Amino acid sequence: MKNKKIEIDPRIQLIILILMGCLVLFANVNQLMALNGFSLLFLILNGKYRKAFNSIVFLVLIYGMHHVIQQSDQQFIKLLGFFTFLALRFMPILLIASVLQDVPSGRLIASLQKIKIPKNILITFSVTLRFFPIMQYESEAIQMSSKLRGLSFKQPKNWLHPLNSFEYTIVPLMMRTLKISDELAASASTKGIDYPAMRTSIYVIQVKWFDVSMVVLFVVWSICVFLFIR
Amino acid sequence: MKSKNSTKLISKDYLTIGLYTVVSLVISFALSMLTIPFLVWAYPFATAFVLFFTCPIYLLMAFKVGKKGTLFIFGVINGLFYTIMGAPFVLPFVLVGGLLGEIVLAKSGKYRSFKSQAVAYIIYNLIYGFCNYIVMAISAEYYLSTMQVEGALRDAYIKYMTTPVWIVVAIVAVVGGIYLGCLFGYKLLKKHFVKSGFISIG
Repeated sequence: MKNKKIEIDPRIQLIILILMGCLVLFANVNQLMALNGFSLLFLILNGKYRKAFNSIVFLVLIYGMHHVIQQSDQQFIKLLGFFTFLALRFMPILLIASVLQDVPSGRLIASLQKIKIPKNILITFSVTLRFFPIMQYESEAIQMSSKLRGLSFKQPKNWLHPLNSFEYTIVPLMMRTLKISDELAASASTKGIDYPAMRTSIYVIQVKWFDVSMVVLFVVWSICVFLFIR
Repeated sequence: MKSKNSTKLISKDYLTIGLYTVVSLVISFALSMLTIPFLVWAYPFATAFVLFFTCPIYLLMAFKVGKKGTLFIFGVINGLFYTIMGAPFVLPFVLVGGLLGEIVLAKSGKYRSFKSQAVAYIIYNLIYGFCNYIVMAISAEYYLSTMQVEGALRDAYIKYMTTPVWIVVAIVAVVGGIYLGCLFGYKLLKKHFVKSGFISIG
Protein backbone atom coordinates (compact mmCIF):
# COMPACT_ATOMS: atom_id res chain seq x y z
CA MET A 1 0.00 0.00 0.00
CA LYS A 2 2.89 2.32 0.67
CA ASN A 3 3.56 2.79 -3.01
CA LYS A 4 0.14 4.29 -3.44
CA LYS A 5 1.10 7.40 -1.53
CA ILE A 6 1.02 10.42 -3.74
CA GLU A 7 4.39 12.06 -4.22
CA ILE A 8 4.32 15.49 -5.70
CA ASP A 9 7.32 16.47 -7.75
CA PRO A 10 9.69 18.70 -5.72
CA ARG A 11 9.78 21.25 -8.50
CA ILE A 12 6.03 21.66 -8.27
CA GLN A 13 6.25 21.91 -4.51
CA LEU A 14 8.88 24.62 -4.79
CA ILE A 15 6.76 26.58 -7.26
CA ILE A 16 3.74 26.38 -4.96
CA LEU A 17 5.90 27.37 -2.01
CA ILE A 18 7.27 30.46 -3.72
CA LEU A 19 3.85 31.49 -5.06
CA MET A 20 2.42 31.06 -1.59
CA GLY A 21 5.23 33.18 -0.17
CA CYS A 22 4.29 35.98 -2.55
CA LEU A 23 0.55 35.63 -1.95
CA VAL A 24 0.61 35.88 1.83
CA LEU A 25 2.23 39.26 1.39
CA PHE A 26 -1.01 40.62 -0.01
CA ALA A 27 -3.60 38.74 2.02
CA ASN A 28 -5.69 39.95 4.93
CA VAL A 29 -6.72 37.73 7.83
CA ASN A 30 -9.69 36.02 6.20
CA GLN A 31 -7.79 35.43 2.99
CA LEU A 32 -4.92 34.01 5.02
CA MET A 33 -7.28 31.50 6.58
CA ALA A 34 -8.37 30.39 3.12
CA LEU A 35 -4.73 30.01 2.04
CA ASN A 36 -4.16 27.99 5.20
CA GLY A 37 -7.01 25.79 4.03
CA PHE A 38 -5.11 25.04 0.85
CA SER A 39 -1.99 24.15 2.83
CA LEU A 40 -4.00 21.77 4.98
CA LEU A 41 -5.41 20.13 1.86
CA PHE A 42 -1.86 19.82 0.59
CA LEU A 43 -0.77 18.14 3.82
CA ILE A 44 -3.67 15.69 3.71
CA LEU A 45 -2.98 14.82 0.07
CA ASN A 46 0.59 14.03 1.07
CA GLY A 47 -0.64 11.72 3.81
CA LYS A 48 0.33 13.82 6.82
CA TYR A 49 -2.93 13.41 8.69
CA ARG A 50 -1.54 13.90 12.16
CA LYS A 51 0.25 17.11 11.34
CA ALA A 52 -2.82 18.37 9.50
CA PHE A 53 -5.01 17.71 12.53
CA ASN A 54 -2.62 19.49 14.89
CA SER A 55 -2.40 22.46 12.57
CA ILE A 56 -6.18 22.73 12.30
CA VAL A 57 -6.46 22.95 16.09
CA PHE A 58 -3.65 25.50 16.23
CA LEU A 59 -5.09 27.62 13.44
CA VAL A 60 -8.57 27.71 14.94
CA LEU A 61 -7.12 28.76 18.28
CA ILE A 62 -5.02 31.52 16.76
CA TYR A 63 -7.85 32.74 14.57
CA GLY A 64 -10.18 32.94 17.56
CA MET A 65 -7.53 34.74 19.57
CA HIS A 66 -7.00 37.21 16.78
CA HIS A 67 -10.68 38.14 16.80
CA VAL A 68 -10.75 38.54 20.57
CA ILE A 69 -7.68 40.77 20.35
CA GLN A 70 -9.20 42.89 17.60
CA GLN A 71 -12.21 43.62 19.80
CA SER A 72 -10.23 44.89 22.77
CA ASP A 73 -9.27 48.52 23.24
CA GLN A 74 -6.09 48.06 25.24
CA GLN A 75 -3.00 49.16 23.35
CA PHE A 76 -0.82 46.41 24.73
CA ILE A 77 -3.24 43.66 23.80
CA LYS A 78 -3.42 45.11 20.31
CA LEU A 79 0.31 44.55 20.04
CA LEU A 80 -0.32 40.86 20.56
CA GLY A 81 -2.51 40.99 17.48
CA PHE A 82 0.70 41.50 15.54
CA PHE A 83 1.92 38.14 16.86
CA THR A 84 -1.20 36.24 15.93
CA PHE A 85 -1.24 37.84 12.50
CA LEU A 86 2.38 36.84 11.91
CA ALA A 87 1.58 33.30 13.01
CA LEU A 88 -1.34 33.10 10.61
CA ARG A 89 0.87 34.48 7.90
CA PHE A 90 3.71 32.01 8.36
CA MET A 91 1.58 28.91 8.82
CA PRO A 92 0.66 28.20 5.17
CA ILE A 93 4.31 28.49 4.17
CA LEU A 94 5.60 26.39 7.04
CA LEU A 95 3.06 23.65 6.29
CA ILE A 96 4.06 23.40 2.64
CA ALA A 97 7.74 23.60 3.53
CA SER A 98 7.29 20.74 5.98
CA VAL A 99 6.21 18.51 3.09
CA LEU A 100 9.20 19.59 1.03
CA GLN A 101 11.43 18.86 4.02
CA ASP A 102 10.46 15.20 3.99
CA VAL A 103 11.35 14.61 0.36
CA PRO A 104 14.45 12.37 0.24
CA SER A 105 17.39 14.57 -0.61
CA GLY A 106 18.36 12.42 -3.58
CA ARG A 107 14.95 12.99 -5.09
CA LEU A 108 15.07 16.69 -4.29
CA ILE A 109 18.43 17.20 -5.96
CA ALA A 110 17.61 14.98 -8.92
CA SER A 111 14.46 16.94 -9.57
CA LEU A 112 15.78 20.44 -8.99
CA GLN A 113 18.92 19.96 -11.09
CA LYS A 114 16.63 19.55 -14.08
CA ILE A 115 15.63 23.19 -13.93
CA LYS A 116 19.28 24.24 -14.03
CA ILE A 117 19.64 25.64 -10.56
CA PRO A 118 23.41 26.00 -10.01
CA LYS A 119 24.60 22.85 -8.28
CA ASN A 120 26.28 24.61 -5.40
CA ILE A 121 23.24 26.69 -4.53
CA LEU A 122 21.19 23.51 -4.82
CA ILE A 123 23.36 21.55 -2.40
CA THR A 124 23.36 24.39 0.09
CA PHE A 125 19.63 24.83 -0.23
CA SER A 126 18.73 21.17 0.23
CA VAL A 127 21.03 20.78 3.22
CA THR A 128 19.70 23.97 4.75
CA LEU A 129 16.11 22.85 4.43
CA ARG A 130 16.95 19.61 6.18
CA PHE A 131 18.87 21.25 8.98
CA PHE A 132 16.00 23.16 10.66
CA PRO A 133 14.56 20.15 12.56
CA ILE A 134 18.05 18.87 13.38
CA MET A 135 18.93 22.19 14.90
CA GLN A 136 15.82 22.12 17.04
CA TYR A 137 16.76 18.67 18.25
CA GLU A 138 20.33 19.72 19.00
CA SER A 139 19.31 22.83 20.87
CA GLU A 140 16.91 20.80 23.00
CA ALA A 141 19.77 18.53 23.96
CA ILE A 142 21.98 21.52 24.75
CA GLN A 143 19.27 23.14 26.84
CA MET A 144 18.81 19.94 28.79
CA SER A 145 22.46 19.58 29.70
CA SER A 146 22.88 23.27 30.45
CA LYS A 147 19.88 23.08 32.75
CA LEU A 148 21.60 20.30 34.68
CA ARG A 149 24.56 22.59 35.19
CA GLY A 150 22.34 25.53 36.10
CA LEU A 151 23.27 27.56 33.01
CA SER A 152 20.09 27.38 30.98
CA PHE A 153 18.23 30.37 29.56
CA LYS A 154 15.07 29.03 31.12
CA GLN A 155 16.30 29.72 34.65
CA PRO A 156 15.58 33.35 35.58
CA LYS A 157 18.81 33.86 37.53
CA ASN A 158 20.79 33.56 34.31
CA TRP A 159 18.97 36.51 32.79
CA LEU A 160 21.20 38.75 34.89
CA HIS A 161 24.20 38.02 32.70
CA PRO A 162 22.75 37.46 29.26
CA LEU A 163 26.07 37.51 27.39
CA ASN A 164 27.44 34.61 29.41
CA SER A 165 24.25 32.60 29.02
CA PHE A 166 24.31 33.31 25.30
CA GLU A 167 27.88 32.05 25.16
CA TYR A 168 26.99 28.85 26.97
CA THR A 169 24.18 28.19 24.53
CA ILE A 170 25.78 29.23 21.28
CA VAL A 171 29.22 27.69 21.63
CA PRO A 172 28.02 24.08 21.94
CA LEU A 173 25.59 24.71 19.12
CA MET A 174 28.34 26.02 16.86
CA MET A 175 30.61 23.14 17.82
CA ARG A 176 27.90 20.66 16.88
CA THR A 177 27.29 22.50 13.62
CA LEU A 178 30.99 22.29 12.79
CA LYS A 179 30.97 18.55 13.45
CA ILE A 180 27.81 17.99 11.45
CA SER A 181 29.09 19.96 8.48
CA ASP A 182 32.34 17.94 8.51
CA GLU A 183 30.44 14.67 8.64
CA LEU A 184 28.08 15.74 5.90
CA ALA A 185 30.95 16.85 3.70
CA ALA A 186 32.70 13.50 4.19
CA SER A 187 29.61 11.52 3.38
CA ALA A 188 28.79 13.73 0.40
CA SER A 189 32.25 13.44 -1.10
CA THR A 190 32.18 9.64 -0.83
CA LYS A 191 29.02 9.84 -2.88
CA GLY A 192 30.84 11.83 -5.54
CA ILE A 193 29.32 15.24 -5.06
CA ASP A 194 32.34 16.96 -6.60
CA TYR A 195 31.96 15.11 -9.87
CA PRO A 196 31.14 17.82 -12.38
CA ALA A 197 28.72 15.99 -14.66
CA MET A 198 24.97 15.76 -14.19
CA ARG A 199 24.04 13.24 -11.54
CA THR A 200 21.95 10.22 -12.32
CA SER A 201 19.36 9.12 -9.84
CA ILE A 202 17.35 6.09 -8.83
CA TYR A 203 14.25 8.24 -8.65
CA VAL A 204 12.14 8.64 -11.74
CA ILE A 205 11.62 12.35 -12.19
CA GLN A 206 8.83 13.49 -14.42
CA VAL A 207 5.92 15.84 -14.07
CA LYS A 208 2.72 13.80 -14.02
CA TRP A 209 -0.85 14.90 -14.56
CA PHE A 210 -1.35 14.99 -10.84
CA ASP A 211 1.41 17.56 -10.37
CA VAL A 212 -0.03 19.79 -13.05
CA SER A 213 -3.51 19.53 -11.59
CA MET A 214 -2.07 20.51 -8.21
CA VAL A 215 -0.71 23.75 -9.65
CA VAL A 216 -3.97 24.42 -11.46
CA LEU A 217 -5.90 23.79 -8.26
CA PHE A 218 -3.62 26.18 -6.40
CA VAL A 219 -3.98 28.93 -8.96
CA VAL A 220 -7.76 28.57 -9.12
CA TRP A 221 -7.96 28.45 -5.34
CA SER A 222 -5.93 31.59 -4.86
CA ILE A 223 -7.82 33.49 -7.55
CA CYS A 224 -11.07 32.57 -5.80
CA VAL A 225 -9.61 33.59 -2.45
CA PHE A 226 -8.64 37.03 -3.67
CA LEU A 227 -11.83 37.57 -5.64
CA PHE A 228 -14.45 36.44 -3.19
CA ILE A 229 -13.10 36.71 0.33
CA ARG A 230 -12.78 40.15 1.82
CA MET B 1 42.00 16.59 -6.93
CA LYS B 2 41.74 20.18 -5.92
CA SER B 3 44.40 21.30 -3.56
CA LYS B 4 43.49 22.19 -0.02
CA ASN B 5 44.53 25.78 -0.36
CA SER B 6 42.41 26.48 -3.39
CA THR B 7 40.76 29.88 -3.25
CA LYS B 8 37.52 28.70 -4.82
CA LEU B 9 34.65 27.46 -2.74
CA ILE B 10 34.28 23.68 -2.78
CA SER B 11 31.20 21.70 -1.82
CA LYS B 12 32.38 21.32 1.77
CA ASP B 13 32.40 25.10 2.12
CA TYR B 14 28.91 25.32 0.70
CA LEU B 15 27.72 22.85 3.32
CA THR B 16 29.34 24.88 6.09
CA ILE B 17 27.81 28.10 4.83
CA GLY B 18 24.38 26.50 4.53
CA LEU B 19 24.37 25.15 8.05
CA TYR B 20 25.58 28.37 9.64
CA THR B 21 23.02 30.34 7.69
CA VAL B 22 20.34 28.21 9.29
CA VAL B 23 21.78 28.82 12.74
CA SER B 24 21.88 32.57 12.23
CA LEU B 25 18.41 32.63 10.66
CA VAL B 26 16.86 30.72 13.54
CA ILE B 27 18.59 32.84 16.14
CA SER B 28 17.58 36.07 14.46
CA PHE B 29 13.97 34.91 14.11
CA ALA B 30 13.81 33.91 17.76
CA LEU B 31 15.33 37.18 18.90
CA SER B 32 13.08 39.28 16.65
CA MET B 33 10.09 37.60 18.27
CA LEU B 34 11.57 38.65 21.60
CA THR B 35 11.85 42.28 20.49
CA ILE B 36 8.27 42.66 19.22
CA PRO B 37 6.79 43.75 22.60
CA PHE B 38 9.40 46.52 22.85
CA LEU B 39 9.05 47.86 19.32
CA VAL B 40 6.96 50.83 20.36
CA TRP B 41 9.68 52.26 22.55
CA ALA B 42 12.87 50.98 21.01
CA TYR B 43 12.31 50.38 17.33
CA PRO B 44 15.66 51.77 16.07
CA PHE B 45 17.58 49.55 18.46
CA ALA B 46 15.75 46.32 17.74
CA THR B 47 17.65 45.57 14.53
CA ALA B 48 20.96 46.30 16.20
CA PHE B 49 20.05 44.05 19.12
CA VAL B 50 19.22 41.12 16.86
CA LEU B 51 22.27 41.61 14.65
CA PHE B 52 24.60 41.76 17.65
CA PHE B 53 23.92 38.11 18.36
CA THR B 54 24.37 36.91 14.78
CA CYS B 55 27.92 38.29 14.62
CA PRO B 56 29.69 35.37 16.36
CA ILE B 57 28.02 32.94 13.97
CA TYR B 58 28.98 34.92 10.91
CA LEU B 59 32.57 35.39 12.09
CA LEU B 60 32.98 31.69 12.82
CA MET B 61 31.64 30.84 9.38
CA ALA B 62 33.82 33.40 7.64
CA PHE B 63 36.99 32.30 9.44
CA LYS B 64 36.23 28.64 8.96
CA VAL B 65 35.72 28.98 5.21
CA GLY B 66 38.07 31.93 4.67
CA LYS B 67 37.48 32.28 0.95
CA LYS B 68 36.00 34.64 -1.56
CA GLY B 69 32.22 34.47 -1.89
CA THR B 70 31.29 33.41 1.61
CA LEU B 71 29.34 36.54 2.41
CA PHE B 72 27.64 36.50 -0.96
CA ILE B 73 26.42 32.90 -0.65
CA PHE B 74 25.34 33.66 2.92
CA GLY B 75 23.29 36.54 1.55
CA VAL B 76 21.81 34.49 -1.27
CA ILE B 77 20.63 31.72 1.06
CA ASN B 78 19.26 34.28 3.52
CA GLY B 79 17.43 36.00 0.70
CA LEU B 80 16.02 32.73 -0.62
CA PHE B 81 14.61 31.90 2.78
CA TYR B 82 13.08 35.32 3.18
CA THR B 83 11.54 34.90 -0.27
CA ILE B 84 10.01 31.61 0.76
CA MET B 85 8.91 33.05 4.08
CA GLY B 86 6.85 35.70 2.35
CA ALA B 87 9.18 38.65 2.03
CA PRO B 88 10.53 38.51 -1.54
CA PHE B 89 11.50 42.18 -1.45
CA VAL B 90 14.47 41.30 0.79
CA LEU B 91 16.26 39.33 -1.94
CA PRO B 92 17.61 42.21 -4.08
CA PHE B 93 18.85 44.01 -0.97
CA VAL B 94 20.84 41.06 0.33
CA LEU B 95 22.30 40.49 -3.13
CA VAL B 96 23.51 44.08 -3.33
CA GLY B 97 24.72 43.99 0.28
CA GLY B 98 26.55 40.73 -0.27
CA LEU B 99 28.23 42.04 -3.40
CA LEU B 100 29.36 45.27 -1.73
CA GLY B 101 30.68 43.31 1.24
CA GLU B 102 32.57 41.01 -1.10
CA ILE B 103 34.13 43.99 -2.86
CA VAL B 104 35.41 45.31 0.47
CA LEU B 105 36.81 41.90 1.33
CA ALA B 106 38.41 41.49 -2.07
CA LYS B 107 40.04 44.92 -1.77
CA SER B 108 41.63 44.07 1.56
CA GLY B 109 42.40 40.55 0.38
CA LYS B 110 42.46 39.15 3.89
CA TYR B 111 39.54 36.83 4.45
CA ARG B 112 40.71 35.83 7.89
CA SER B 113 41.23 39.25 9.37
CA PHE B 114 38.87 40.64 11.97
CA LYS B 115 38.88 44.15 10.61
CA SER B 116 37.88 43.47 7.05
CA GLN B 117 35.27 40.89 8.00
CA ALA B 118 33.70 43.29 10.49
CA VAL B 119 33.60 46.10 7.93
CA ALA B 120 32.13 43.82 5.27
CA TYR B 121 29.50 42.49 7.65
CA ILE B 122 28.54 46.03 8.70
CA ILE B 123 28.09 47.06 5.08
CA TYR B 124 26.07 43.96 4.28
CA ASN B 125 23.79 44.51 7.26
CA LEU B 126 23.36 48.23 6.68
CA ILE B 127 21.81 47.43 3.34
CA TYR B 128 19.95 44.36 4.51
CA GLY B 129 18.70 45.98 7.72
CA PHE B 130 17.43 49.01 5.90
CA CYS B 131 15.32 47.29 3.31
CA ASN B 132 12.45 47.96 5.71
CA TYR B 133 13.08 51.67 5.49
CA ILE B 134 13.30 51.67 1.74
CA VAL B 135 10.11 49.65 1.39
CA MET B 136 8.46 52.06 3.81
CA ALA B 137 9.59 55.03 1.77
CA ILE B 138 8.09 53.56 -1.36
CA SER B 139 4.75 52.38 0.01
CA ALA B 140 4.22 53.26 3.65
CA GLU B 141 0.44 53.03 3.75
CA TYR B 142 0.27 49.73 1.93
CA TYR B 143 3.05 48.14 3.96
CA LEU B 144 1.44 49.06 7.25
CA SER B 145 -2.03 47.95 6.27
CA THR B 146 -0.90 44.54 5.04
CA MET B 147 1.13 43.98 8.18
CA GLN B 148 -1.93 44.77 10.34
CA VAL B 149 0.02 47.38 12.22
CA GLU B 150 -2.40 49.52 14.15
CA GLY B 151 -2.69 52.03 16.93
CA ALA B 152 0.38 53.01 18.92
CA LEU B 153 2.66 50.68 17.01
CA ARG B 154 1.65 52.29 13.73
CA ASP B 155 2.40 55.78 15.04
CA ALA B 156 5.72 54.56 16.41
CA TYR B 157 6.64 52.97 13.08
CA ILE B 158 5.92 56.12 11.17
CA LYS B 159 7.76 58.22 13.70
CA TYR B 160 10.87 56.07 13.72
CA MET B 161 10.98 55.38 10.02
CA THR B 162 10.41 58.82 8.61
CA THR B 163 12.14 61.20 11.05
CA PRO B 164 15.74 61.75 9.90
CA VAL B 165 17.02 61.93 13.48
CA TRP B 166 15.70 58.48 14.29
CA ILE B 167 17.04 57.07 11.04
CA VAL B 168 20.50 58.36 11.91
CA VAL B 169 20.11 56.89 15.39
CA ALA B 170 19.18 53.56 13.84
CA ILE B 171 22.21 53.62 11.53
CA VAL B 172 24.54 54.44 14.40
CA ALA B 173 22.92 51.74 16.52
CA VAL B 174 23.35 49.12 13.79
CA VAL B 175 26.97 50.00 13.13
CA GLY B 176 27.78 50.11 16.83
CA GLY B 177 25.85 46.95 17.56
CA ILE B 178 27.60 44.98 14.87
CA TYR B 179 31.01 46.29 15.81
CA LEU B 180 30.48 45.30 19.43
CA GLY B 181 29.00 42.01 18.30
CA CYS B 182 32.04 41.29 16.16
CA LEU B 183 34.35 42.12 19.06
CA PHE B 184 32.36 39.80 21.30
CA GLY B 185 32.32 37.12 18.63
CA TYR B 186 36.05 37.46 18.05
CA LYS B 187 36.73 37.00 21.74
CA LEU B 188 34.46 33.98 21.74
CA LEU B 189 36.25 32.48 18.76
CA LYS B 190 39.67 33.02 20.31
CA LYS B 191 38.53 31.47 23.56
CA HIS B 192 36.82 28.39 22.21
CA PHE B 193 37.61 27.67 18.59
CA VAL B 194 41.15 28.82 17.92
CA LYS B 195 42.55 27.06 20.95
CA SER B 196 40.92 23.80 19.98
CA GLY B 197 42.26 24.14 16.46
CA PHE B 198 38.97 24.29 14.59
CA ILE B 199 39.78 27.54 12.87
CA SER B 200 42.83 29.68 12.30
CA ILE B 201 43.06 33.44 12.51
CA GLY B 202 45.56 35.61 10.79
